[in-house]
Amino acid sequence: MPNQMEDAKSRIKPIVEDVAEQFVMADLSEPSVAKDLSEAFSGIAGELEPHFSRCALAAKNAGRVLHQKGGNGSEIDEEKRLSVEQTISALQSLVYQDAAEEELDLPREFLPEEQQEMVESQESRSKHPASAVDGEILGEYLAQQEAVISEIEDLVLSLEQQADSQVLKELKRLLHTAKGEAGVIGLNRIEKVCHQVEDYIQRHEEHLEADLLLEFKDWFEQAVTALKNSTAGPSEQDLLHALADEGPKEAGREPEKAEKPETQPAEKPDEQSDKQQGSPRQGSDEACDELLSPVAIDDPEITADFISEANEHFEISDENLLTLENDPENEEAVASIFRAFHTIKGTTSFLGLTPISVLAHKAENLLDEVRKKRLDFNGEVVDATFNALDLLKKMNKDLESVLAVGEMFVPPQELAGVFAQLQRALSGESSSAPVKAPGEPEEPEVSAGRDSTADTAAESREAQAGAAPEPEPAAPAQAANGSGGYAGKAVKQTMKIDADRIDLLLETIGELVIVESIVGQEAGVNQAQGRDLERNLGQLKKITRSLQDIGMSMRLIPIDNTFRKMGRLVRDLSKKSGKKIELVMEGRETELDKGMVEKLGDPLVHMIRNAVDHGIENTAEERSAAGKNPTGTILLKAYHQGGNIHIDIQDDGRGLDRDAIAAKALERDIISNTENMTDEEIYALIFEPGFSTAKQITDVSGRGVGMDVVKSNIESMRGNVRISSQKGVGSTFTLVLPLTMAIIDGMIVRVGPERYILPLLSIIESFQPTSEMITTVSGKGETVPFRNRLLPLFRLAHLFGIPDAQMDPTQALVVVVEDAGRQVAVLVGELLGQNQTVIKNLGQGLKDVEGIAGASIMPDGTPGLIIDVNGLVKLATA
Amino acid sequence: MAQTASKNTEQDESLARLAGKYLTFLLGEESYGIEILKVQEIIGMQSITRIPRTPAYVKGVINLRGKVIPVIDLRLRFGMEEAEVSRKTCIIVVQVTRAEISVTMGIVVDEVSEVIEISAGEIEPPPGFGAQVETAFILGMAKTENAVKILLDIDKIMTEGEMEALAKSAG
Repeated sequence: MPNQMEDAKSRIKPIVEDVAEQFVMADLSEPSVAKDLSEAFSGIAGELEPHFSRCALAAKNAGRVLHQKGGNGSEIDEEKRLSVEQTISALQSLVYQDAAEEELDLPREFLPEEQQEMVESQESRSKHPASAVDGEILGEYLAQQEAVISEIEDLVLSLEQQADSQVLKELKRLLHTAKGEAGVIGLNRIEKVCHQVEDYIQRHEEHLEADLLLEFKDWFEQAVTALKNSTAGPSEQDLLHALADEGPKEAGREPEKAEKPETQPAEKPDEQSDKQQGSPRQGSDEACDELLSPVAIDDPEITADFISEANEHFEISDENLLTLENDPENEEAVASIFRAFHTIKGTTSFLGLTPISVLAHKAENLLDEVRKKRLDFNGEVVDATFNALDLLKKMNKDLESVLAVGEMFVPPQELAGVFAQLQRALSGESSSAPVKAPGEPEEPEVSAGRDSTADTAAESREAQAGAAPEPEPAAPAQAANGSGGYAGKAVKQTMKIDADRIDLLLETIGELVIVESIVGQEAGVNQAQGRDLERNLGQLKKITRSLQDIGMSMRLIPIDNTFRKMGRLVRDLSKKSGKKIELVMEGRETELDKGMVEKLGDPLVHMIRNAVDHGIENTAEERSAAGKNPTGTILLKAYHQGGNIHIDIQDDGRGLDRDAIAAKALERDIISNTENMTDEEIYALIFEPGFSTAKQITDVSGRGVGMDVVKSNIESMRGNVRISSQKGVGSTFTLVLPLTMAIIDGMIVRVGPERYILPLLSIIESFQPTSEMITTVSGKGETVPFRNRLLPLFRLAHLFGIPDAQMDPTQALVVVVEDAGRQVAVLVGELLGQNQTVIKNLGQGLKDVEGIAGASIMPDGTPGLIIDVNGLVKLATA
Repeated sequence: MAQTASKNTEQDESLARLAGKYLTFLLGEESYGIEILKVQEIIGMQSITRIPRTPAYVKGVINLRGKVIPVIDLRLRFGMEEAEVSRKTCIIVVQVTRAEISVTMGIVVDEVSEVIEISAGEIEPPPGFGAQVETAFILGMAKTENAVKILLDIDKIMTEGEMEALAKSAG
């Protein structure tokens, strides 16, 4: 026996040393540090257990305190800190000075439990947890258990009906979680019983006694109720007895072992069984259930900041992940994702959003391994990272919505799955490379812990088994890297400005522009005023223009953000559909209005989905047969052209089938005949609502999923969509968008005494008709020939009821306008010239005037109305 | 005023709340009042851009220091004859609150008179005319020394539904 004691001492020596050092040097408010220490303490406790029960207990409690504090990231209060310190020095005396255990000055605070454990069955349990945990945590725990209990009952009953490994697994998981949580809170009796039941199930997996399990459930229920009412709980002796009787192995257990280090043997079999099932998930699950409880948002303001910040991180990470997929060696990309996770982790743990921070932390750990080249970025690691990122995004969204209504943040259920996956990905490393540098200076504890999972040395297993129920293998690595230098890129200096302020600035600039032009015109009239005035006015004009340009550019952001998302989309779609597709992006730096970049997301998603679903051929063979590269290509390209932004979505797939589309449109009564229709007009039919309501999108003609959504979205931005396609070669969808939504390039047209602004974007041509050109149909409708086709001619004066307009077409002008591939001719008086002005709405009271998109201030200071071409066409054809 | 006291107290109370300063203006021979707090400013008549396909009483929009605001003609709104624009014709810019949205709009009136203080005792409920005269936007009638002023509930001059319906049904 004395020998064993000495052995134990020498084994814990380095750990104690390390703990002492860390405790003094490290920042205890850092959760990972606290976690390490708590794990170390648990290890010490495990070693000391058989020989020095008081020390073991003190160490165990010290570990528990640290674990709790570390878990919620709060400061450890002074009293507790002192107790931990006292424990450490006592351990040091034990190890170095061979002091007798009785002489050691162990903190009172950590010892009372000793007595309580001894008189366990007589003690009122309610007092006990209160000393170690505050009532709030206990209350939360108890509230959770109610659901757990009923679930246990369900599972047991279902098991009784039919043995099912899934159900059994779930039951084990629940028990394990219940045990772990009870242990953390200090409900040793529950912990013990749960553990016994777990053991029992482990041993009798094949022939479980449902009655016994139900008995346990009843006991558990009673115990929880008793805790709630602060009364003495039921005795567990009978139950334990029954459980023990069931199994022959139970008898062989050492009595003292059964009493205290309950977690030890439990985790062993559990671990093994999990290993067999290929899902080492116990640790994550346990952590998970704790994490799945709702979190209150303490600081809405900072949280809101975090949400928008996190979104940026997500986008960058998405892109880097894609880079990595193609080039797993790209260190910069790994580092960048790592940074993103790290930042998210830091902020969320500060905000108390533990579920998010833990997830980010785990993902970060995984990437850290990749970063240190201990793990290759492929297979499980890739998927785990993607999933973690997706879940983070989802949580961020959830967070945003709960923040808006001021509710508690409820972590999603998928958390457990992703944790398990991350864990798998991480442990994939330890199995593939079991001999990783064992004694790296910055993480001695952890490498020990991790190695123990790999090899089966009972000793180290014991050390680990006593550890906190949330194994965090790479935690210290993270801690060490937290302050480590990141190879950050030089970033352009930016400032965050309230969007409203920018809008206000733009509005004010707009007013300045108007006043400037009014003054300019007046001065032009009174030219006698002299040259100075003229020169100064010229100067003013120049400055005003540049001010306007700067103002506009403030709202411009690169389209990059939106494009990035498409990379991910194509990857997912391509995986799902089994088609090999490469996405090529060009002109990502092209800038456009922020509001538009955001609005573009949806239409692009629809169009890309369409290109993947219907554009690219179904199989690589089909492509090869057509003499194309087996890998399909989708080109996403943004560029400036003629003062507009063009975005091409081009695929090298099958192309649109004019006949099929026409046939379908006829069938659906969207058109009555196809004569006199250009290819473009036919293609544009796919944007008609109801074109693709078919349940099954047929091979060639079915390009139209949600295409009406695309059209309406683009139109709301005052843009339009053009399609060009060649059968068998591919199709190109071009979104033509104005540079910004705030400004319009317009052509001022006069009709009678009134002036209107026609968006330049929609004007194709204007000409003065001769009387022969105008043909009347049934005495009312008029047509005019244009590029070998007959276009319907509408008179603006009629549509808008304008008095005193020029009624002789030969004295007026025909303007051909286009809306989504559809061309019409509009008769106006004359063209007065172009102008570029800020768009204003007509005011709340006049929101939906048909045919009018808004107003704009004319150079003379009066408002001019902007014609909504789409509305006008509707009005005319209604 | 002794007679008005005989009205039931509830009505008295609601009428009493109407007491305060009013901007009064003329539409033909009739004198109207708008709560002074609703009035943003008074501007001279200026060129108004007509909006097609809206009812006649919507005169159009004007540029108020860079903001485009709708202008309605109160005469036309009340079904009166349209008047010639004279030097006295004004646009009163008012803040209308509708469904918690504040809208700035202009109303064309023949002539702005003055700002007067109207006490609770001077206010009487709008008389019932039956269907022939619309009284929904009349808060009450104020009998001052020399004339009766019609106190307008400017928020109700154009209700949201009315506005939308008008905008759509027009033309």
